[in-house]
Order: sequence, then C-alpha cells, then structure tokens
Amino acid sequence: MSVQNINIKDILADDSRFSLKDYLFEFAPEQTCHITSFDAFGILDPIIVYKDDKDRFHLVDGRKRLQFAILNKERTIRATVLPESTPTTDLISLILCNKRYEIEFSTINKIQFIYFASSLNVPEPWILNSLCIPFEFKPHRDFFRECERINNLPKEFKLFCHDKKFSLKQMLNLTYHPKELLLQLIKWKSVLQLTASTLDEIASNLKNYLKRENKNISDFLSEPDIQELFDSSLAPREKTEKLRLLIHLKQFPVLSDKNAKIQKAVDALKLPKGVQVSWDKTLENKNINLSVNISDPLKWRGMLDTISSDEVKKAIESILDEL
Amino acid sequence: MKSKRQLNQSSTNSKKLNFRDGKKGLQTITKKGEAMGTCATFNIKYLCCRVHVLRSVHNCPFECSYCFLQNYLTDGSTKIVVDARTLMQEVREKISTEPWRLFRIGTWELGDSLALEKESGQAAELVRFFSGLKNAVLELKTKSDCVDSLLPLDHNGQTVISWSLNTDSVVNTDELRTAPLNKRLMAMQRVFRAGYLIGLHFDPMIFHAGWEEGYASLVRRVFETISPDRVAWISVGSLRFNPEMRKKIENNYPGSRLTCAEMVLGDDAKVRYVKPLRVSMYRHLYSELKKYVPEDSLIYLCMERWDVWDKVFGHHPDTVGHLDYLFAKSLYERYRIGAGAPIRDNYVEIPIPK
Repeated sequence: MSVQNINIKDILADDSRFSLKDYLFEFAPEQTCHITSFDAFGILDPIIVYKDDKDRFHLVDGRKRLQFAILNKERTIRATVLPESTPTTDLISLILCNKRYEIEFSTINKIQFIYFASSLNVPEPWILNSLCIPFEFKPHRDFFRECERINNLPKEFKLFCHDKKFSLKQMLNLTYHPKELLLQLIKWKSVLQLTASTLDEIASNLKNYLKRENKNISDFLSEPDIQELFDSSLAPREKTEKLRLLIHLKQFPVLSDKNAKIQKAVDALKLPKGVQVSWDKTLENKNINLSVNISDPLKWRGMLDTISSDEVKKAIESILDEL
Repeated sequence: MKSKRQLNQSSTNSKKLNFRDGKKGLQTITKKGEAMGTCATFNIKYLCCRVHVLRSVHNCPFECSYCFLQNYLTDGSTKIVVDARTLMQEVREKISTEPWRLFRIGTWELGDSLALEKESGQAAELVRFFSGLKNAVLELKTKSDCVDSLLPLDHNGQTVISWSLNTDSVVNTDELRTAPLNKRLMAMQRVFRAGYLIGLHFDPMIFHAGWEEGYASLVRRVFETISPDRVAWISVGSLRFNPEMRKKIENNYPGSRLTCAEMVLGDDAKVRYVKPLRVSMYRHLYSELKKYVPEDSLIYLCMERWDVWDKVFGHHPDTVGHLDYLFAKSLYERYRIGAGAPIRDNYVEIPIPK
C-alpha cells in the first residue's frame, strides 16, 4: 500500500465501483465548513483509491478532497492506493468506518449500504455478521430478500423514508403496495400529514378498494368527494383524517353502512351526557357496552331512569340484532 | 400405476425448500412424535366441531391461493409418513382410552388426503385399518379425483370421503392444479357407488362476482351426482386467514383478488369477511342445501361465532361437546356408526383443548 501522486483524470469518482451516490441519502451537507478548512490548510490527508486489474483507480474515500482539487484546477492528487488484491470485505469495512455517521443516520441508508455490499458480491455470512448485527438487524433467512424489496421502492419514496427515519418493519410493510400508489402518496406529502402507520393504512385500504372496483389511481382522484377534499383549504392534519375516513368508507361499505345505522339509532335516543353506548365497530362481537360517567350524585336517579326506559331497552335490542 | 412424482427417502439434512419448490418432489418420512391431535384452530369465541387430525402428510401438490400452508410450513418439502402402521398404532392406542366415544379423524390438516395416493397408497392402508375399528371414522378430504385405489376396498362404512368444493370460478382462479369440479364430482360418484359415505365441505366460500348463482349451481350439481342420503356431514365456512398470509397471497399470487375484499380481524387473530357478508353467504348456501337434503342431515359451520349459527340456522349447539355429540348421534342413528348409541353427557364432559 503506497501513497502516490496520481493524475486526477485517471480517478473514477461517480463511476467508482465503491461510489455510494446511488445508495446513500445524505443529510444536510456542510459544504462551507469543508471548503473553509480546505482554504486554510489545503488537502491534508491523501484520498484512498483502489487500483483494479485494468489499472483504473476507483475512489474509495475523499470525494470532497477530489472536488476541491478539481475546483483548484490541480492535475494530480496524493492518494493511498489499495492494491487489486485487497479483499472487498476490507474495503467495505473501511468505507463503513469513514461513512458511519451517514450510513447509520437512517434505516434506509443501512439497508442500502447492505445492498451495496451485496452488489459487490460480498459473502452473505460476512454481511450478516459484520453489518446486520452491528446495525441491529435480526439476521434471518429472508433478510436479503427483504433488503431487496426495500431497495426496489421508488427513489422518491425511499428519500421520504430516510427523512422520516422509518424502521425496517415500517418500510417492509410499505413494499407490499403498488409503486404507482406509493408515488401518489409521496405527491401528497406537502398537503397531508403522513406517518408510517398512516401511509400504510391509506395505501392498504386504497389498494384493496382500487383492485376490488377495477379502478386505477386516476379514477380515484377524479371521484367527486376526493376532488373536493384536495381542492379544500383544510389544514394537512384535517385533510389527512378526512382522506383516511373517505377511503375507509369506500373499502368497508357494508361495515360503514351498518355502523352508521347503529350510530343513528344511538343518536336518536338523545341519551344524557355521561351515558355512553359503544359496540365493536368490526361488528364481530355481538355485545354492547353501556357506560355511565357521573360526577353529581343527584343525577344518578335520572340516568338510571333513562337507561331502564322502554325506549332504550328497545333500541338496545334492535342494535344487538344488527350485530 | 405410473407416476411422474418420485418417492425419495428423506434425509434429515435435506435442504429446506420453500413452499412452491417443495411441491415438486415427495419425500417419505418416518413418524416422529405424536401424529394424532385435535384440529389446531380451536378458539372459545368460535364453535369447533372437535374433529381429530392425523398428520400423515406435510404439504400438498396443489396450489390454492388461500392455503395457509404457504405461511405455516417452515420446511416446504412435501413429505408423507411411509409406515402407516405406526400411525395406526397411535390411533388405536388413543381411541382405546375412550371406547364409548366416536372419533372423527381426518388426514387433511397439513395436506390433501388423496392427492398423493397414486404414489403412496397410504389412504388405502388407512381405510383398511379403520374398517376394523368400532369407535372411529376416517375422513379423507380432497380436491383431487384420485380414488382408484379406494374403490375395491372393504371399508366397512368406517371411512368418509370428503370433497372440498367451490364454484367453477373459484376452482379456476384460486385452486390451481386441483381437479376441475366436474372431475371431483365424477370421482365422488364413483366412491358413492362403492358404498362410501360422502362428506361435503363448502369451505372456504369466497365472495366473487356471481357467487350466488355459482354456489346455487354447485349445490345443484352435487345432488345431481349423488343422493343426499349417504352424505355424512356438510360443512360451510368462509375465507379466513392470518393477517401475515395477506402478504404471502399477494406475493405468491399477484393476480388473486382474495385479499381486496371487505375483511376484518376476528378474536382468533384471523381475518374474515365482515359478518353481514358471511351471514348472507351462509344463508344463501343453506337455503340451497335445504332444497335437496333430508331434515336430519348434519350441516354445520366451521369455526364460526355462536351468534352466526343463530343467524343462519336459528339455533346453536350448547357447547363444543354438544356439537361433537350431535355428530356421533347423527352417524349412529343414520348409519349405525359407533360402538353404541352415544350419551350426551359423556361428550359434554370432555375437556376443551387449551
């Protein structure tokens, strides 16, 4: 391993075999800090390159130093040259040491780094031991398949997962939704308040609704209630809630209809404040909960009279029949 | 009979196969541990028929998109217990502890009872064995038409051959590689003529375009094929699966529309169609069945809520034990199956599985 002055034109930077540009999302780059440091001291440390069997130099570490040298119209740069015989696992370890903060900034970056190592044909057992375990992923049989699923998500969507720091499980759940749908959800990110669970719920219900009704996303967007929602001036939070509700109604028409009927029957009773009727909204359990909240003992008798009235009894019976 | 599938002696170190690859081969294994147990789907909020299962086969050559095996088997290899005598020994020991009780024992929990019969001959061996038992009935449940080996046997009325039945539309879209409905019905007619009792399982009923006419036509075709008086039991159930299965189905069968229906999670951690939908499907099928079957036929819902029984049949058994007793009573009164007239209290006192 030697430090040499090598011609900048001979260095593969973006095309380097070890370039992470397609694999890692960066956090806010602090360019000015580096430039100031370069202005004050110049380039202190040599960059690291790997020399392949065709004598090409693949940049391993020092992208910003290389950029600075190019900006200053340098023709050569000092570089530590790793020989062709360097094991790929050593190179991956080196890159991990140098870029640990960026790689570990988000789960998607960790996944993509593993995918990057995998793309260099690093043996799977090494990845499981040297990357998965330090990254706190559970190494199991289907792990690489899961990584691939996540890596195949649309880039814009992965960036969103990076910004929101979604977990492995959250991202994996999202991989089961059609790309077209995920891209539409990302288009809504400025007008809706999207968390991982909200995304998953909306995507899941919308996917099922569209499939069942033989519709596509454009058909959905042109439905009057959806158009009206997105044309409205509601705040993102309210808009999100309304969208969730509308999609739920479309995906669960029978359930929604039954629950609406029951709610109507409960509302018609005009029960005093403090008396609550609740039921299993999935309609699975034939069961009604009647609860009483009381703060004034004088109201006790009135509440009991209401609950034991024939009207309430009849209504409860008819609700139970619905369940 | 020649077969494309080869029987291979299983090696303990054989590589674990995934669900689909495992369907291509067939390994023989020896029985390990207990093979006979109760049906694994027991849950107190749902009424269970308390059938017993004999795990004689693991995995199945068919590909039903809704099959739980795709999410259940950690080793997807297709395996069959090679020495049926060891299975029979266990059955004999277990049923002898309660000689007064009628055991219904099915071999379909982890696979199809007859799909591998050409290669293994296992079902025929079991039929012969059960023919000599007083207090047990064998149930062979299938979506195949592999009945040749069973026709000449002296079954002594102790085997019920059952078919899992669905509409042509569901068979074509979601029961891949299984025998088409007309072939299942032809096979049913052959075993019927050979004197076997028949079991009918309209399970899982699937909500699809034209389901009402589809199921009505299915019932009509069944009773154009066989007479209802030798139908031992009829089960009705609807599509249900663990939530994790949803992803498996979507992944393994991207064209399937099963998972996009209006379904909710139940207390047994399985998703099902919403109750009003289930009830309307069951009521429809039941009203079609009533056109053909006698009053004393045994029709039951598989893993359904007590109140769903009420909505469909207007009543429900008092307990799981009561339902088990109704089976024994029905089989004894109609076909004299069992060691004697069953006593209700005995069945009710059998502990519920934990």
